[in-house]
Order: sequence, then structure tokens, then C-alpha cells
Amino acid sequence: MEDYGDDLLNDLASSEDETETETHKLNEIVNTGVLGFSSRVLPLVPLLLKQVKYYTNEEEMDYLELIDDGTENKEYKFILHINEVSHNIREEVEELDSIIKSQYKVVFPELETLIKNPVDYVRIVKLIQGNLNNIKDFEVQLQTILPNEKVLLVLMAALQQERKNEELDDTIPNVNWQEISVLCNNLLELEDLIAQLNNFISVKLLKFAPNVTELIGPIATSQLLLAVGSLKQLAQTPSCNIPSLGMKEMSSSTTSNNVTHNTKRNTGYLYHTPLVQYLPNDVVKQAMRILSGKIVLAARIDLAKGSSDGTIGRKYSIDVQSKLEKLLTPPENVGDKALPIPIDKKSKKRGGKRFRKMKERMGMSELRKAQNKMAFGKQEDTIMDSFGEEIGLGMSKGVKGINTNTGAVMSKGLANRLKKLELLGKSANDLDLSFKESQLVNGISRKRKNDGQAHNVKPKKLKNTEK
Amino acid sequence: MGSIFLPNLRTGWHVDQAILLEDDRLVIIRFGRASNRECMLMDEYLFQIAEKVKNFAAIYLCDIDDVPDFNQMYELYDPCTVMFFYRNKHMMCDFGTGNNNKLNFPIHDKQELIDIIETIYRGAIKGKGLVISPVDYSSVRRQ
Repeated sequence: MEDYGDDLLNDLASSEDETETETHKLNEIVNTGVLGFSSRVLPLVPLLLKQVKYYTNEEEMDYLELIDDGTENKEYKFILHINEVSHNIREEVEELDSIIKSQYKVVFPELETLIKNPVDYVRIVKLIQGNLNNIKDFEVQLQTILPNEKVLLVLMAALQQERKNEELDDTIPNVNWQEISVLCNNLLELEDLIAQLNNFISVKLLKFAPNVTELIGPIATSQLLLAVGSLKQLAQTPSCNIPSLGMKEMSSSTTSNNVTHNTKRNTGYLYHTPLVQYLPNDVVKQAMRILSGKIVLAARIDLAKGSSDGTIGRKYSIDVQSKLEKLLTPPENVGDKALPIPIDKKSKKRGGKRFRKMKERMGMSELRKAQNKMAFGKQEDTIMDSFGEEIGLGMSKGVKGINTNTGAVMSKGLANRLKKLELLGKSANDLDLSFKESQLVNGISRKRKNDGQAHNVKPKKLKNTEK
Repeated sequence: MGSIFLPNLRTGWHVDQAILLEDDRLVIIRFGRASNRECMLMDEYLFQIAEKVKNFAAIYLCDIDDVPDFNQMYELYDPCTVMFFYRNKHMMCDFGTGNNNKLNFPIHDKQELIDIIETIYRGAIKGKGLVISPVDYSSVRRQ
């Protein structure tokens, strides 16, 4: 943070030369702290406010410049710096708050639990200080700070505390009211500064990137712009990269095997936007995905200077919210689905032309059927196959007609070979045994072949597999 | 938990009516003692499948101490016995255990139970009195 303070000082000093002397003066003031607290931001307040005022009043802005290359523009730079400052201011507010609480504890310990908001707390402390017994006098003033029921709570708690103190005969220990009130003023001043800065940023960004601002708020918008560099670059960033912008622990968790390893992925700027922050863990990833898609779209609209009043951004925001609502609704509790009644239905498939054809194709040929039959009182003709097995021919000799249902086509090679054999003459005796056998088995084929229609003959191979 | 949610048949008359009045569904009655561990487990499984098989089977419970009417007739001596009926007819199932009248051993698988019920239902609508269980339990260790 120290580095940052110096950075900012240098930065601001260089941006406006006239403030240089002031910053030196301020540097001297920095070290004068109260109750061990020395602020790094407080001395910068006047400077910051001055800048804010300067830029707020500056009406003529070249936004084109911002779009093209934001790094050159001083105001843009200042806006980006405010992000860092506001982070530091928050840290300091927390620090101040804890110091004030530890100081005020001795007077009114219960107030801490009643009032969570540091600003309200500090205002009450400033108001009542040690006068717990006269607390009723402050009722009207308290009502301006707190809602009525809270006022009642504080009053009752204060009176109770007072009684307790009386019982114990405990006088309020010496508290340096002056120092406390200084701290209180500091805190209020810082809070005021935050509000002013936020206001400034939102006003500026509303002009600059109205749709993105409408969607995720000015702070996150400026953070994202800071991370990517400019609106143009934001519009060009793939939406899947946006959740990882502004991640802090990435480098530390990878380099050292820390125990505090971050289990969640992509806890960047987007993760800390109010829209995502309070979502349950299981939808965060999806919410960021939805949101970052819309951010890029909105950035493109802003870049094209469309919808300058932010209506589309607002529409996107509503869309995203409705989507998130849908994500958050619990799934409908559907009971077990009853099984269907286990009735075995008959297959609806009956015969038909195509089915019959298929059956015929797979079925036995007439020839094969005939081969399986035997004539009474006659010796069966047999042949020997290449394995030396005797194959009976049955009554296949007289069968006519060829099974055309098989759709078998003779290959060109086979047709050629058969043709050659034919050309060699009818010297069938010279042919090898298997061929002869096949000729015998389909006697019809020989007849056909003799007619010169060899290509219609069933291939030899098919016949053999049929056995 | 199953013994609470499944319908309990409190008297013999209820048992009779349950068997008689169901027209197109299998009636499955668990005879046993809800306090028994084995019986509790069976109840649990029956309860878990009751919703799934509701289209073709109705599951009831019956305490054999409260309703002793059937103990002798059906030989209900085990801590947990599951019996099947269809249109007032007792359905038998060959589990391979030797006793086809009832399911009196623990089954620790919901799908197996569903398969058995489906098989019995298929047999029942075809008018069979005895069906063969899809799983053979002859080698399953008896407790």
C-alpha cells in the first residue's frame, strides 16, 4: 500500500505540476498519527477531490481517444486509478473501524454487536460518547441515523450498560474523546470520499460505457476496463476470459504450495460484483458465464455508441437476473416413474413382398432340396470333393430352373475364366476336380453355359458355401 | 420406513378383500413382523419399488402376530414371507429353493425383485399358476 501511495502521489504530481508542492507538504503530515493509526489516503483526499472536481467540470471530452487507446488519456487514467484508491480506502476504513471499536468497547461493549455498519457505529459514538446515562436526550438525533426499532435497541442496551456500570461502581475509564472523535471524523471523511469517487466514476462511466455500467455497476466496469486496457479491448475479449480478469491468488498458488489454496476458480472482478457475490457456489460458475457473455455484448454496443442511455444494458441485466432466478429455483421433485405393464405383445411384423423375398434369398434352393432327397431302390450318384469326402447327389439330376432369388452376380474375373475354359474346348476332363464337381452339382449351369449365358450362372464359390 | 408408508392389512378380512378386489394387478403381501431386521430390510426394498410397479402390482404388509388367521394355512413361520396373488389365485414361483409357494428369503436387489414381480405378472395374465423365477436362488445362502 505504501508503494501505492507513493505511486499515486507521483502520478498525480506529474499529471498536474502545480500540485507538486502540495504533495510534499502532505507527505510530512502523513506521519502524524492518532492512536497508532496513520493514514496513507487521508492526506491525498484534498488532492483527489480536486482532481475529481477538475474532471467533473471538464465537459469537453474526447471519447474517441478513450476508445482507441485509453492509456494516453489522463482522465481515463485517473478513473482507473480510483479503483486502486477505493480499495485502499476500504482497507483503511476497516482499520479505523476496528481501532474505534477497541477504544469504545470499554464504554459500551454492546453497541458493537447492535450496529454492524461502521458508518452508523461511528456516528453514534460521536453523538453519545460517554453519556450513557443521558442517552434519552439523544433519541431524536439517533432517529436520524437509525430506524426506530434500532434506536430502541440502542437505548435499552445503553441503559442496561449504565446500570451495570453503577452496580459494579465502575466509573468510565479515561478515554481520550478527542482522539476518538478525530478517528471518527477520519472514517466519515473516508466514507464520504468513497461515495464521491463512486459517484464520479459512475457519472463518467455512464457516459463512457453506459450499457456495461448498467449491467455490472460502475466499480466492476472500471475494474474490467483497467484490466483489459480499453473499451475496445473489452469488446474484443472472449467472454470466457472475463471471469478470470483480476484474479489475485493465481501466481501465489502456483508458485508456492500454500495451504490456503484457492479452491474456487476465477475469483476475479466479476466474482466480486454484487450480482454474483451472494450467489451459492454451485451456480457462480454459470452465473459468471452468463454475465460475461452479456458484458462483452454490452461493451460492443458501447463501442458502437448504440443505446447511449443504457437501455440495452438494463435489459441485459434483467435478462441475467431472470436467468439466475431460474438457476436458483430448486428442481421439481419428480417421484419414481412407474414401469410399464409387462405385457408381451406379439410382433406387429407380418409377411409382405419384401419379407418373402428376403426369406427366399436365405432359403434353400430347389437344387439343394432335390439333392437331399433320395430315390427308392436306386443307387445314388456320388462325387468326391477335394477333401476326399463322398457327396451324394440325391435326386438333383433332373431338377430344372435356377434359384434367381439369391441375387448372386458372377464376378467379372470368374466370368472371364469360364469363358476361357469354354474357348479351350469342351475338354472338361482336364479341369480340376473342384470345377468339375461344381459343374456336376449345378447341372443346369452347364446347360446355361452351353447356351452362352455364362454370366447368369451362380458362382462356384457360392455353391460351395451352401453345403 | 417402508413399513409405515406401505398399506398395512390389519385383519384377516382386510387381507381377503385386498386379494379379492384387485382385478388387474398382482397382489403382493408381505407377511412378517415389522420389528424383525430381515423383515425391515424387505419392507424397505418393497417400499422403494412400490411406486415403480404400481401399474401391475399392489404391495401390502401384514403382521403375522396381529393377523394369525393365515399362519397355518400358508405356513407363515419365517420372519418375512412374501406371497403373490392374482385374481384371488395364489401365484407360485419356482425360485429353486424348493418352496414355490412363497418368497421367504432375503433379496437385496431392487431390480431382482422387480424382475420377479414382472415374471409372475406375465405368467398370471397368461393363466399360469406357476412361473419360473428369472434368477435361481438355490445356491443363495439361507440365513
